[in-house]
Amino acid sequence: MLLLAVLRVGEEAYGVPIAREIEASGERTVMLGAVYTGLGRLEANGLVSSSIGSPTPERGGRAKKYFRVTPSGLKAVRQAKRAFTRLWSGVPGLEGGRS
Amino acid sequence: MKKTRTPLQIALLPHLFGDDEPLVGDLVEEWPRRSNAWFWRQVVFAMLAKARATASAALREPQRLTGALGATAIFLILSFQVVVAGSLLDDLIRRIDRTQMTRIDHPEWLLFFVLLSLPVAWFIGRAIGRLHHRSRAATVVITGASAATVGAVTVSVLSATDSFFPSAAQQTAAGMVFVLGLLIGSSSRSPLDRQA
Repeated sequence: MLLLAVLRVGEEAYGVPIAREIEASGERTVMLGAVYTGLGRLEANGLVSSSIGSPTPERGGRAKKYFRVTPSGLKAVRQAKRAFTRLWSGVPGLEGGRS
Repeated sequence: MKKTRTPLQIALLPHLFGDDEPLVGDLVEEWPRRSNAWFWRQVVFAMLAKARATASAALREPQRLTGALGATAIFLILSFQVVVAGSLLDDLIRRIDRTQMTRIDHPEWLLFFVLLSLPVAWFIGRAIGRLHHRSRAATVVITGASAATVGAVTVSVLSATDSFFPSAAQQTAAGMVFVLGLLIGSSSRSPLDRQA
């Protein structure tokens, strides 16, 4: 979910827009601490890379940390999609619209 | 609606997440659009996440625990010394000269005395911190002696009766305030240290 959110946000992917993106799609409150913990883990696994931006006044002069999905991350997203689709198909209760 | 920022909440963030500039920046940026409940939920969760990450990192590298365990051990030993050595010293003073001892019988002064002991301990602790590099033996003697003296003073000098402190727990708590001041003082760095 985090990888997809980073991909959807694009160039401006830092904590706030990533959290907003997940909130918009999942309709739930997202904890910024959890976003950074998850992104840190993905970065340790080489699925995302990060860079520090310049400080901005609305952040009290603090810099943003931008995230970008690496080629390995993109591959992982595609694999996850394939696996998810395989699991999804063939379940009678999930096919054909509303339950 | 954009709300006015509360300086206290914003000022608190760097102290809680000092090394995490992106997270602090995100909270500062997003908070004006959200409720106070959202802000505090985020702060509490981030603190818990940080504590969990620190704990798991310490478990992976046990040598990181040494400093924290050492400080806790010193804190407990000194607190024990404040109560036990202080009581023994008090008993000794009473045996030697009971009549000439100046005693103050004002239980309401207890809080004042305990609060006053904190800055005093901070100064002593700071001096001990500087001395530590020159002589470890002197550091141990001064720390132990000051803790025992405070114990004796709290038990004896301020009271004409034995029941100045209503309970041993309160005596321990008062001693711990002094010990805490000692530890904070000894770990604080002077401007000269920072320049070095």
